[in-house]
Amino acid sequence: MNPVRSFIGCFAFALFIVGTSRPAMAFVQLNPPSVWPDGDIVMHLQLGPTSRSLSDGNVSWNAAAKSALEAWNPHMERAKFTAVIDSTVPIGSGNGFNNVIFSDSIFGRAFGDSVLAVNIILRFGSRRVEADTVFNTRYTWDSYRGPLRAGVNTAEFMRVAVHEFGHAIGLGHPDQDGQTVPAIMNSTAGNVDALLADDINGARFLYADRAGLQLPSLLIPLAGTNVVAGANIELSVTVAGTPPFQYTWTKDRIRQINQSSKLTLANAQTGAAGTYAVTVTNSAGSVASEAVVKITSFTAVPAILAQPANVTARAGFDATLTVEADGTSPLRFQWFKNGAAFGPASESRSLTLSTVQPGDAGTYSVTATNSAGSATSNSATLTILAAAATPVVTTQPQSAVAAVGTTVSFTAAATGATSQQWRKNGVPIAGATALTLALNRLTAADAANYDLVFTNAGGTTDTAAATLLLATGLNSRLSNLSVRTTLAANQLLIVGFTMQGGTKDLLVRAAGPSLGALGVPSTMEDPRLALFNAGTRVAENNDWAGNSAVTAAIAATGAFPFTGTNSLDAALVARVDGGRTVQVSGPAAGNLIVEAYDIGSANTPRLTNLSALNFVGTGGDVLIAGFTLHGSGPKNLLIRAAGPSLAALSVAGTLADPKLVLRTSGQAFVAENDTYSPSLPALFAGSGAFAFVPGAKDAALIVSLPPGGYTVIVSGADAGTGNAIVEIYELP
Amino acid sequence: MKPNCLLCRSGFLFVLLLLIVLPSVAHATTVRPPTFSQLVGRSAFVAETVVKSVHSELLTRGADRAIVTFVTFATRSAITGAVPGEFTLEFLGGTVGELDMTVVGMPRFIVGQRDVVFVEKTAGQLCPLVTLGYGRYRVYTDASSPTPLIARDNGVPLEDVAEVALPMPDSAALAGALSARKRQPLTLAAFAARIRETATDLAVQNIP
Repeated sequence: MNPVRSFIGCFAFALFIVGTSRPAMAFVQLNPPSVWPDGDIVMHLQLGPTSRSLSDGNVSWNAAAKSALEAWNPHMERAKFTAVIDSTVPIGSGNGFNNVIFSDSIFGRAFGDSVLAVNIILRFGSRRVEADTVFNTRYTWDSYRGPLRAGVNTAEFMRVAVHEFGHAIGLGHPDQDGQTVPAIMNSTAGNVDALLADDINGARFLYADRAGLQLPSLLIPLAGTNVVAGANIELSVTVAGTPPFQYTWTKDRIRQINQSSKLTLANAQTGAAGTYAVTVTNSAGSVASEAVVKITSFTAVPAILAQPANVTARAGFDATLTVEADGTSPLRFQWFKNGAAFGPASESRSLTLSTVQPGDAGTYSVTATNSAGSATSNSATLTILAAAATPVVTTQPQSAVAAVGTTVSFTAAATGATSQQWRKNGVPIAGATALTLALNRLTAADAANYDLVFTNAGGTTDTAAATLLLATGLNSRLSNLSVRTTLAANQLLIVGFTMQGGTKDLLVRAAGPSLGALGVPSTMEDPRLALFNAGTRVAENNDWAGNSAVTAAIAATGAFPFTGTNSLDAALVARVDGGRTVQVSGPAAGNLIVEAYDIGSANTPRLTNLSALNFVGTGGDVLIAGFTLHGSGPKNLLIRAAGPSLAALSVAGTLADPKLVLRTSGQAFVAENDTYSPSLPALFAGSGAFAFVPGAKDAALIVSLPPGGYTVIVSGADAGTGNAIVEIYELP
Repeated sequence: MKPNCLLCRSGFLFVLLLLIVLPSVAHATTVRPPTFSQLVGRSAFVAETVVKSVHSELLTRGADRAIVTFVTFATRSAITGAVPGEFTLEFLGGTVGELDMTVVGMPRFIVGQRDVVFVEKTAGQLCPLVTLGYGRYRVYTDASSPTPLIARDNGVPLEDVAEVALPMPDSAALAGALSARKRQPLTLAAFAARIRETATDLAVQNIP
């Protein structure tokens, strides 16, 4: 054979191999999978100055590293890299900072001359807590694009940095999982100098927006088996959750080249025996399952490996008896109670009795059977205890608003509990089993609902969920309140507000006739309003009569115009500092709208509280209050609808069970509440709101809202009617 | 008997091609793989081992905190060098409770695993094995035979000692590409023989 032709043939074969790609989901995660919580991934760039200019024009190593980080960001939704150039935070592993550095050693161990860079990742459970990236000073580094340049001790910075930061977000080497896709995350870099489609798919998968996503959960886990050599074995899992899923298989912790939900072992011989595991991941998290495969050269007679243990259960709870048995599959298990067969035989190694009662007490045994014979276990005793009371919560955790980087604590207490476990959004927090949960160095990912589950022999009792909101800063303000209602003749509508931080002009209006021009029927013919400061009337108006200040304020605020200077609507402009109330009434019944507008532009002074007290009817006569958030960022608010607790303040005829619903001005649902959470009283006190009667059916909620218009609808949860007050408070 | 079939020669040429071409255009992103000769030459000793114990500790060194895993190997057979009957190596990374530290590329071990390990001559290196996972080869048996075979750290069977100079993924790709014909993984005995031959060659070269 012509050796040249042979060489070309082999080269073509090699190109074919390199160019052959598997379909999507080729990217892999580092094993075990872990990802960053939502929010910023702060990377401290501490690479120092360059001794010469870099070939790609970057002015420093840190600038080049920043470019490498920014390559990933467009493909990550719920968390993104943030670069701190020339950071001065301490350098070290296990210090909570993501250091990006040059060094000749790691934890006192020399880099040597065969490793260019490493990524050191710390995780707690499935949550990443630190990722340090260390570049080896043994090499002479440059940063450029295009083909890799030859050189014994030279290395190209950009592609290594992009690759290492891929590890930092959780990606592994696809080629080391049997994938043959082009990717910068392959451990072979070569001429790839930027993210490729598979890298991008990986980042999108790990950091997709989690809204609406369900964690994978096992419906059918892996099941162990014991077969005679030569059998075909199929290991598989079935999961629920939001697809797509990624399946990572291992045998005795060695990755297997398989990314499907099934792993088939055809004609399995003894070498295939071992512990198999699969981790199933989606963008919200992961779940794992493990099973042992045994392979023998003959059909093994059943043997009891672990006898069923005595079980004591309290009446009303479940009780499970379990046996461990060996022998060639399939094994069938027949349970006996007091010597008599109990239920049908099955392949399950456990017997679960639901909601046990005293009559379930007795002695239980089990016989394991296969084609070669059977084995019977010893007897185990099931003892049933009388039912017990569950814990009683005495102190509820209180919702809080706190700034990023600060510390917040939640505390709860109960009588009769023997243990407790904190949860975050319903998921147990590892190690959080004290009565107080302290969250240090708050990040965006900490904003969540926290509750404590108390346990004793009688069962569990959950506290109310305390909500942690992150302080928003002063980027927006309440700029407008409006209340539309129907008043009887001479019935009073009372609207209140508080101006904090100084004096500011407010436009206050009571529109009836001009409302009719907007299509509202049966409007009030001649509303009038009066402004009060601590019970003293400080201003009033019956007919606005084309007042120039009001005209200017309407133009400045964008309020709807009155139909004319002679309309009988009421309006005034007043300089306000502190709390004020507005009383509105009219000599004849009708529909009207009462409004208060912040005329100024700055966020200080600003309205920090708005309220309206009125009769709540049914149908179209429910209490509807609108408000506007103006600014550039979100604002945290406390919104309440009080009825029963108003009665405690001597207000007559109150609404027995108010319910509030919050919608956007476009009528999109935002939140609702019927009865306030016992986790809120601390925020009531902190915001200056009057205390609710404990256990009363008043409604309240806390929300973080972006700028825009919103509507609060207050009605009777039981279709009842009565007086109620709706309140909106600014939170930090 | 010398292999003379076209298929065998193509496989050999393919490996040769990769060895010739790949190092000049591509290398492992974070690791420069050693040649087989370098692998042997940089080793204080090479042994077939079984992992006897593994435990991890959270250690402090100045401002650094790190998890270090101590792996104790029992020697099943000495291949080259002065091999202790039992020895313990320290690997950066590991798991303590729910806290886990991963150094990407660092091999991990579990009790009972059989490996051939190439232990670094130079103490105090990032990894006590030569070039991270390139210094660890798994010993396994497949479905067809009880003869111990050799796989790389990533579990891909090793067919030729020349493949150790390839980045591991190329080995994986190679495995896939050559799956049309049955791969013939090196046996433990053949691998050990090649290690000893190479060690001898290196020793001869070093004779003044």
